[in-house]
Amino acid sequence: MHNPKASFRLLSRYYPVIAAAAEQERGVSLTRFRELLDAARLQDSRSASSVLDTLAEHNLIERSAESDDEWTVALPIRQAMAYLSGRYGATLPGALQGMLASIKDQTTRLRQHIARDLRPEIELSRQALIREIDKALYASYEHSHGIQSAVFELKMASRQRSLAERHAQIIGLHDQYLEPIKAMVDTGGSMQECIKDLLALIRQATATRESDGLESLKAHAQRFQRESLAHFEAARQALLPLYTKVRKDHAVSVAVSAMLSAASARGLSTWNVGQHLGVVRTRIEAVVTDTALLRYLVGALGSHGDAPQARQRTLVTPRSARLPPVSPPLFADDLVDEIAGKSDALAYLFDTYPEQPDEQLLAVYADLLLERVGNRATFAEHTVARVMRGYRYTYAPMTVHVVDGGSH
Amino acid sequence: MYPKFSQQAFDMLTKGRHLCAADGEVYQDLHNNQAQYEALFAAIGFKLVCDPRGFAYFTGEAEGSIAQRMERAALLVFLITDRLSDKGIGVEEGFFSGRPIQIADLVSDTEPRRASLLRDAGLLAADERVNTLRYMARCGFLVYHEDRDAVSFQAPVRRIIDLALNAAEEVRPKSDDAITEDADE
Repeated sequence: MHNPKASFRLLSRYYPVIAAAAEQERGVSLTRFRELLDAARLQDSRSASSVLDTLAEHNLIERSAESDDEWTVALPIRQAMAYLSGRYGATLPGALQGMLASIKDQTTRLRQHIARDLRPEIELSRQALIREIDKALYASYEHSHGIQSAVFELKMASRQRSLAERHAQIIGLHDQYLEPIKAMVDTGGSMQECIKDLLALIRQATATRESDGLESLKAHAQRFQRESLAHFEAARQALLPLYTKVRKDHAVSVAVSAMLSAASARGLSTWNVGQHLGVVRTRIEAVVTDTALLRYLVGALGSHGDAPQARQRTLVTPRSARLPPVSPPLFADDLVDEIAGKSDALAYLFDTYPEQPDEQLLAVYADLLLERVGNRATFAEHTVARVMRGYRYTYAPMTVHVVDGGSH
Repeated sequence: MYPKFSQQAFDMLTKGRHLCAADGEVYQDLHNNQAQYEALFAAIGFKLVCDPRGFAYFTGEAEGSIAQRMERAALLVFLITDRLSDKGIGVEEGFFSGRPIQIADLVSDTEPRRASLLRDAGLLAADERVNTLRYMARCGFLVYHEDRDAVSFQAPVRRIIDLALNAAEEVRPKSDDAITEDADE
């Protein structure tokens, strides 16, 4: 592979000759190339043949598909030159559609000439078809390149347009330029059908008679089929990410604009944030309660992965745990009087009711705290840590005070 | 075995925080053991929502002052989105490209409609805007760079954008209403 810099230097040096060759309808012979070289007055002492060899080595020109004695400028070079000379923009797909119609007409004529075995007419049709196919190939490239250029320009200039403007442009590019081409190149599309028809005719004709140059027509048709699809893919890949993104962005922008308009007209409450954007932000006492409960659950579920020996329950007071409901037989109501005056209600419960499950005792304790004793309970200033039935409880001991005439 | 960071996650979530990758190992562990966290919190009546876009929160209905704060947060997000749209910048690029956003000009009160909205929300004073941004930072919607008056949005702010996408149809005036409003004017 040649150094691209060397190839570009060569292109630059022989640009007038290469550009003139690219303008030719067909390939150029060695004689014609020599004339072009002379006309360009490049003051080059090298022979035309030697220059052709060098240009071919750098893939700037290649042997013509039609004749080994003729040379054509390589397609990418012709495309680059056309782009540099500012000839290309995104052509409307209608232009390509027109060329396909022309290929179709020429195919019909070729079919008729082959049927009548009219050799000079076959040759004329063949040449006309090659020209039409090359034109369509150019148009296909031009179209794809136009879309890619537009995408590039949109990306570069994105800060100068509002999102609404960008949306309109990109949607327009997609709907008016890309989608119609997709319909042509997809299976069953007009481009595919047109080339398929031509290839079938060539296959049929060459099976029963001499090629008459139809093989080179076949090569052009296949190339068109292959490259037009590649052109479409290149355009699609350039546009689609932008298209997807701008649609999402535009949807958000439109929605936000509607929200702001609604708030301007009817106030912020129209958003109904409470319903749509619910956030749990518990009150302080609820956090204490729920944290205690979480700790209880954690203890009940098992030990911590990092500290398997620790089995701990922490009851935060004065608002202690809202523990899961546990069935009778023990009720807080029945125990208020009994517990009144005891310095540590929880320890009393565990000591006095050893047959009751932990959960039962904790539920009674929570019930006493939250529902039964109200402001008659006081809590020790310091927490204690007591191990009861294998669990370490950390809590501030509660005392329920006796009132005259009983606790009720 | 219960999830390693259940206590820390619970403490943060109950304060209204949305957890995301910025919360480090707490979110990472929650993300990796989602089902366990959900079950644990469900047992005490909290619904944990793990959004596949990279954040988690306790859901519930916002009431009172919380709803008002969330309204203010939504207003700031919408005003910033609207201004970015004018500049041709979409939410993905504007909010999540990692570049902090200078907010002074994005929520400015120089336009009548914006000023009116900010006034209605009690955000005309810069101090109130700062308070709201701090609140949003506590909720995990953004990181507030106070020294630069800039914000970096976090994944949970997508909830506020969702609000616009979900509620826009509801709040958009019906064609009959529009005619009536025009007639009233």
